[in-house]
This record gives sequence, C-alpha cells and structure tokens, in this order.
Amino acid sequence: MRKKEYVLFLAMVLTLGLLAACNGADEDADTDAGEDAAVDEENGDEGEEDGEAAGEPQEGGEIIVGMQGDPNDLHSAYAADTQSTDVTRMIHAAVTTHNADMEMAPELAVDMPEVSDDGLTYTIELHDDVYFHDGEQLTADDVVFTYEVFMDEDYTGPRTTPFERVESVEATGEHEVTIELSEPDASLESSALTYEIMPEHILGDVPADEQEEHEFSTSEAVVGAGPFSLEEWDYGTSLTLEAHEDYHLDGPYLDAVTLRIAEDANALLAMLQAGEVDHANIRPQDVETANAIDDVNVVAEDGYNYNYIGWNHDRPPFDDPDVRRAMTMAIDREAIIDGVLQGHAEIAHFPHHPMSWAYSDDVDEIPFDPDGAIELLEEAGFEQNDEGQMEYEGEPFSFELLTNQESHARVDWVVVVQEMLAEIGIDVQTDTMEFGAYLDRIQTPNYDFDAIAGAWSLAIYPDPEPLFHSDQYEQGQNNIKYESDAFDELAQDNRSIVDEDERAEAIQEAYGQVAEDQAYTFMYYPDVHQAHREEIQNFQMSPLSEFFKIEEWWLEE
Amino acid sequence: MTTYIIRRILMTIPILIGISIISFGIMQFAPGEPTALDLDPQISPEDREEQLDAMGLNDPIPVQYVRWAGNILQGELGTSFITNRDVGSMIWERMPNTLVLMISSTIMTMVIAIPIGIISAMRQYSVRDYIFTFGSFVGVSIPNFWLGLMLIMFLSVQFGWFPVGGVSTLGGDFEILDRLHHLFLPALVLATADMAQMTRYTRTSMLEVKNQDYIRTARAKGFKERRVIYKHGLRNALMPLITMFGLLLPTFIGGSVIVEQIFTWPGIGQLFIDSTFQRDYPVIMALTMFGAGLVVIGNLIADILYAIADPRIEY
Repeated sequence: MRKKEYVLFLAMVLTLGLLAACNGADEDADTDAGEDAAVDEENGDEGEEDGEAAGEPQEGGEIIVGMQGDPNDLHSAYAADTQSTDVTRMIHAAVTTHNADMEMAPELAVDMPEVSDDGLTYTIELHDDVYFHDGEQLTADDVVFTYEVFMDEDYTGPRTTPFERVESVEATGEHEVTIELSEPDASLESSALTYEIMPEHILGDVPADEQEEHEFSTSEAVVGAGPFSLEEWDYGTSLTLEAHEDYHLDGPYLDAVTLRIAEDANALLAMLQAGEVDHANIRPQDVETANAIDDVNVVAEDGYNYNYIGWNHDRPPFDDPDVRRAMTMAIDREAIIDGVLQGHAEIAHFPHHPMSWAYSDDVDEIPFDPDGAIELLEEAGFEQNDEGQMEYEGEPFSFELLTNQESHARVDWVVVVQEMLAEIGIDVQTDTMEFGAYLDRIQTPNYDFDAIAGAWSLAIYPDPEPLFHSDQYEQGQNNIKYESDAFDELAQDNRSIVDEDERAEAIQEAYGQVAEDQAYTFMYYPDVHQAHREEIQNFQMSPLSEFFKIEEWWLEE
Repeated sequence: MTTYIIRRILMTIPILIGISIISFGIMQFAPGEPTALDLDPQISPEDREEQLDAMGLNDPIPVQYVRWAGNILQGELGTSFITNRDVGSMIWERMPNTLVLMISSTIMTMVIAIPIGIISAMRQYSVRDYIFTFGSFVGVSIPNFWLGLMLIMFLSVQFGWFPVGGVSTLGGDFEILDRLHHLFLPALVLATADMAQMTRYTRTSMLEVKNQDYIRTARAKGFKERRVIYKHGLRNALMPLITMFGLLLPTFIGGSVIVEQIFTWPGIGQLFIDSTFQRDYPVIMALTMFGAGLVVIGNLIADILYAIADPRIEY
C-alpha cells in the first residue's frame, strides 16, 4: 500500500526533532559574531549616510513594509493606536508635523503659525497647491471643518483636550486660517495642529459621531492630501498604497508601498529573513539575528519613552523620598541594560527625553551604591536583623513588584531587580499580569499595588501635569499618588506661559523636582531598532513614527 | 427521525441563551475595558469616560445584555469597539480562510490517520505497530507552536521552500497552486496533533472490532481479507470516530488560534485572540456564540451520522 509514504512522513517528524536540537547550539555560536556587527552599525549610523552618499533621489520602485497588526481607524480624530497613526500620517497631511530632531515644522502651512503677542491668536497660511487624492484642492475650509469635528459636542474620540482652549477656528481667506484661543496654549502647535486634515467635500455632511464608523475611516474609501493614497485594504493581510503625484512637498519617490500585516514580532522577523518584507521594526533581542541577514541594515535610535519603577506613595514606607532614593541606589541599572537589553538602552535620570527642550542636565544622577542604600534605609527607620533582612517597623520588609506580561524586557528585569534588592536584605515578590488586568489593578479606583514596572511614551509637548500633578490622582494618571506642592506650583498650567524661555524653565524645574523626589525610579530610555534592505536610500527614522518621512525614501536601481 | 431532529433543534434554544448569559457575564467580570488600552497621558480621563458612555459600557450589565440580545435577534451583530467596522463582515471575511485551513487539515488527518490506525490494529504488536504508536505519541506531544516555528525556521527561512506566512502571495492574482503552497505548512501543523490522536482512536476501535464474532463469520464465509476489514470491520470501528468528528467541528474556531497566529493566517482564531486582548466585546460575543452554535450543530450532525452508519440506531 502506501507504506513508503508513511515511513517517510514518520522519518520527517523524527528528524525535525533532531534538527531542532542542533539548531539551539548553532544559534549560540552565531550570537557572538552578530554582536560585533550590531555595534558597528550603530556607531556608523549608516542609515543616514547612505542617503547622502548616494546622491540624487531616483523615482520609482516598490517596497514591502512589515507592520504588526492592522490599523483600526484612518480618521485623524479617532486614530489612537500606533498602527493607525502611522498609516494616517502616510495618507493624510497636517498643518504642522515634527522633524527628526523632535522639533515642530510646517507641512500644510507655509510656515509655522504666526502667534499674537498675547498668545491668543494663531494665523496659519496654507500652501496653495495642495490637492486631495481625488483632485479636489485643500483649502482653509477643510482645516476649519476638521478642527470643528474635535470640538463638536457629539464627538466621542479621545482627543478633546488639545482643543479645549480653542474658542473659534475661522477661514479668513482661501488659504488662511485664524484660530482664537480662550487662554494661551503652548501645546497647540505640537498637538491640535498635528491632527491631519480631512476632506470637507466628502465628510462635510456626516455628523461628527458617525465619522468614526464611516467607510471613509475604515476602508480604502479614505481620501487624504498626504504623500500616499490607499488603494486596497485586505484586512489582516495587507494595505496597498500608491504615490500621490500631486503631493506638495518633496517626494514621494517610491511608486508604491505595501504594508504587510504580521501578527507578531517573530513572524515579522521570519519575513525579513526570508526576504518577504523590505523593512520592519525589530525588538532589541532580534538585532543580532537581523544583522546577520545579507543586505539588511539595522538602524538604532533612542526611543521617545522611558521605563520606570513606580512606587505607591500611598503605602509606607514608599511615601518617604529617602526610601525611594535608596531603592534606586540598590538597583544596578547599568547591569540591567547590559544583561537584559544587550546594551540597547541608556540610563534615565529624568522624567523626559534628552532630545526634548524639557530636559535638564542639572539633575542629580543617583549612582549604584548598595551600601549607601542600606545607610539611607537605616536613617529612614529600617533595621538590618541578624539574618541580613531589612526590617521595617519590626517586620522583615517585603513588597510586590508588578508588571505586564507583554513587555519581555520588563518581565526579565523585574526578576533582576528582585535579586538586587535581595542583596540589601529586601524581599521582593514579582508578579506579571495581562495588560488589561494589570491596568485595571493599578488605575483608578483600585490602585492596588506596592510598586509597578512600567513605561511611558512621551509626547512632543512635555506637559508634566498629567502624570505627576496631585489633581491627577483621583481620576488621572498619577496613580502613584505623587504629591508635591513645589511641583504643583511649577507645573500648574504651564501651557498658559506665553514666553518660551520662561515656560521651558518652569517645566524643567518641575521635572527636576520629580527627579529629586524620586517619584519613580527612572530606569532607562530603550533604543528602537528598524531593519531595512540596503537598497532603500535616504532612510530616516523618528522615535514617534515607524515610517518616518517614507515619502523621501527612494530605491537605488 | 424528523421529530427527533426538530426536538433537538428546539432544545438548542435554551442552551444557547444560557451560554450567552454566562459568557456575557464572564466577559464583563474580566478586568480591563476597551478604552483603558489606549494608554496615553495625553488622553484625558474625561474623554475615556465619555467613550465608555458612547459604547454603552457604563450601563448596568443586565441592561447591556438585553440590548445586545435584542440586536442579535434582529440579526445585528453590532460594531466593533476597536475597528469600528461591522462585526458580521469582520467574521465573514475571515471565515473562508479558517474553513480552508480546517477542512484541509481534517482531510489530511483522515487520509493519513485512519489507514495508519487500521494497519496498526491489524498487525498488533508488530514492529510497524510500535513505530506508528511511537510516532503518534511524538505527534501528540509536540506542541503546535513549536512545530510551527521549527517548520518556518527550516523550511521557510533556511531553505526558502515555503512562504513564511499569509494566505497568498501579496499582490498576485488568485492561483490555486500559490494558495496550496501557502496552505501546506499551517495545515500540516494543525493536522499533526489530530492525526496522532485519530490514529490512536482508530487503532483502539479496530482492535475491539477485530475479535468480534461477525468478523470471524465474515472470514469463515471466505470473504477477501480487505473486504472483511474495510466493509465489516471499519464500518463498525468508525462509530466512536464519528463522535470525535462531531467534537472536532467547534475547533474550527478555537483550534486554529495558535497556528493562525504563527503563520499570520488571517482567520477566525486570530480575530478571537486580538479581540480578547483588546476587550472588543461585540466581537468576542459574536465569536463565542458562533462557537457555541458549532458545538451544538456538531453534536447534532454526529447523532445523525450515527443513524446512517448504524441502521439499528433509531430515535
């Protein structure tokens, strides 16, 4: 009968097991070689050099870009997750946008808006040669229409705060928009004005609360004024985008970009290895593997976010700044970066990013000093008993460090922290939870945690209020219950400060206060890595977008 | 028979209502909510609260249930909280992918497992039997995800024989060979565990039948061995397998979760995972009810097949 086939099949199953065993060893051997390559790549910052060295951009060509998961909504007023905002940025254009240095720059506007001396009137002059994908011209009316969606009382999207101080938006010319504010708002240019402009001639008659579910927002029916137009959206598989020839700024040079959906990071990496995608975001632990692929460059950049340990100030002894400082001193962050993140991160001492104007060097860098930590704890009322345990109020001190299971790096380093604190006699239990359950436990109204390991993505406007102001405890994001009058006073209403220098000073001092008080133990700024085929020229990267300035990328013949 | 089927169908109604109440309740008690996941300090708590209001999630759970049930009865599956698209069309567009995957892996299972099981049973304690037995234990023990990752790693990445994932080549027209090329690995992985299990069931079942009087009688009548085994033996041995097949039907939605995830196969299982992690209640409920429906139908079909396979069974 078909005896032979069965035996063959069986043989296959058995050999697979053997092969797999061999592979484990191979992979280890590869790692060392790969690591050196990774270091070179980063020092050389090759992505940028390529573009400059190769000269004039060439038109044409197509690339396939890997993306983790479908976007959810392509309407700028409703897009909130990364995939959605990344794709929205390719399809639509906004009045202002950010550049690679995290500074604001005009896109639809000819220049940055003109602001009146009292900070209440913004005048925006738009380019007069902007066209939507369907050929209609983009005018001041489209801008007014879009912003009014956010301000509509039926609007239920997540973005009302950026517009809360906008009194009126008016078209004061075919290509001129005037915005009146009720109070000065320094964040306007980097928040409200960065939401992409939607076409009034298509959505004008759709009520604000129906736009989210409109086919415009959820299918290839979308029309924008951005560098690419969406031709096909095969849900769960791919999105096909074509160049918008009339785009008013440089590019796009590529004829088409296909976004290929992969369900997880492993699948994405395999696609990159098999040459099925030309570009992908990769995790720090995959850098070596990606570097080992022929013709693939890995580019690293500081992520615009930081990891932290948040201490619950509502639970003694974490209400004592000295205890929190001692915890920081007992944790060897350098070792965690080297051991867990393979060096792909930088120690954080401050609640915002070094690239931002909110950053201040004038901050006390807490060194790794376990002995100092013990001393500090003893001053704060701890006592070391005969077995080396730290006792607080007569009991051996112990607390729970909680994190979410989706972040592999954090899941790994909480255990390292556990060991480091055990060194100074503090017992830590670690726990990981699924993200939704984790949030439920740490947010209002539960606040049921001793300490959490988490991360914050940062916004361009570095408002310190949402995370640390004492008003933000009951309902907001200050779930650690940080309370500092000095901070509250400094941070209070920083958006209203019209003078730039004065504002920067207030915010830097406010953040400085948070660092001084060690509201969190700031862990590190992780690098983000992208891998792309060598043929892609003028590759650019920004921590806020996966396909940054993709309209300016081009392919070498 | 007809009255029996009608009675069975009527009985499914209270069962489905019960399932819907329980799953709705469990889902609501699970921690987390759809808006909490947009963790962004720039989104104010008031906005979040307003979104929950708009989704109707701030109403008491019984009110939410009645509203949901009312919509279902009118054939409205609702709109996804996350993708803002119609839940019905989200499921509908993924259904063909899952069906293709499940049907081909089921066929693969049957074609390979049943003959192996029979051979094993007929030559009990032979070398061949031991090899097959060993093989099926290996098959049962290999975790799906591991086998999938290994196959991708060697056959796709190293040798480039198969695509890494997806249902077809991007941008290409419909081509049956291309589809089969993409289908082979996920279907194989999915079939492995079932195959091993099915082999064991067939073997056991065959062993039991083998020593029955009617087999001996058939042999005594001088029938050819092949006829004895396949006509008289297998037919009876198949009875328990039918039950198993009925139970397989609901795995059409659940069983492929991991495989779909690994092979980036845009099917129902993937949708289920995504919507669960995003707390996309309308999608979760629709899929749960769909799964419940399949269990009920699967059992019904199994019962009907009994009657066909064994005319002595009467209802």
